[in-house]
Amino acid sequence: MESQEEINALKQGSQLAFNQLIDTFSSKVYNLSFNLLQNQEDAEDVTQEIFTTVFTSIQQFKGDSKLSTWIYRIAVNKCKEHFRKKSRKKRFGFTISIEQNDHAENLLKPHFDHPGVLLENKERANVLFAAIEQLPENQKLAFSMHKLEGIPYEEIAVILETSLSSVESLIFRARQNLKQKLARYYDENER
Amino acid sequence: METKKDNWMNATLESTEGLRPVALSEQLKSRLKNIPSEITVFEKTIPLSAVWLVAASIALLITVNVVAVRTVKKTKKQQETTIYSDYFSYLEQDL
Repeated sequence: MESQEEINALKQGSQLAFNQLIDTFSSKVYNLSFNLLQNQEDAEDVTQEIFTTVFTSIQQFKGDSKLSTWIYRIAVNKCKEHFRKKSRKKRFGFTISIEQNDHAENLLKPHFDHPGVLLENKERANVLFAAIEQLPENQKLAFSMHKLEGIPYEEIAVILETSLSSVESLIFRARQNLKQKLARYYDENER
Repeated sequence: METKKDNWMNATLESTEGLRPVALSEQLKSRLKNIPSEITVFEKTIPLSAVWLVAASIALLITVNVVAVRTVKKTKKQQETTIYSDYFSYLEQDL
């Protein structure tokens, strides 16, 4: 799905080419959204938004990067938009009680049960996903793309429009942050 | 003690090893494949001029509201000033 011929067909609005694009990338894009948003319905809605943007913006694809990288970039931006919408809702809605303090906010509350996790790892993975959810946005994106999707550092750098060393640093800091959160969780629950 | 904690942390950090991708529902896949026809239908059924007309109407509505609110505020302020000056006007009168 990376050939110039196929990309030209997409630009001309070919339904056949678009179907091929869906067959090739929908699973990867859906799984990326699902892992980042940790919610099936949200992942489905965002996946639809991503491919709508791909269809309407394909004329802007200049071929500077791989088509898959360009689609991933759209996916990441849509997920970022979703995070922001969600945090705005939290701030202005009634979902957070006024009395809640920082400590309570930092507590890990495992709630996401990923159906693709091996059975013997279920419990631990739930805790890890809760910890990942609390990471700063860019750390969460870089760590999830590398750890959960297996995307190499170089491609993450292109997707996030940053340098390779920044990606290395983001993933290093994400691991440090996760270790701190897991240590606190262990002290409060597992000991 | 620390070793047990470290082991637990490391095992948790590696707990997504072997993560299997989640399968997409057929319903979602068909929704995705319908995107081109849906967008084309939208473009065909709603002419661009109508979209612009709606946008202009909304802009006009907002402008009218802003002007109305400003006018009301200004009138209220003037009324208050008149009331105050009427009330204290006896001070200016020669006793």
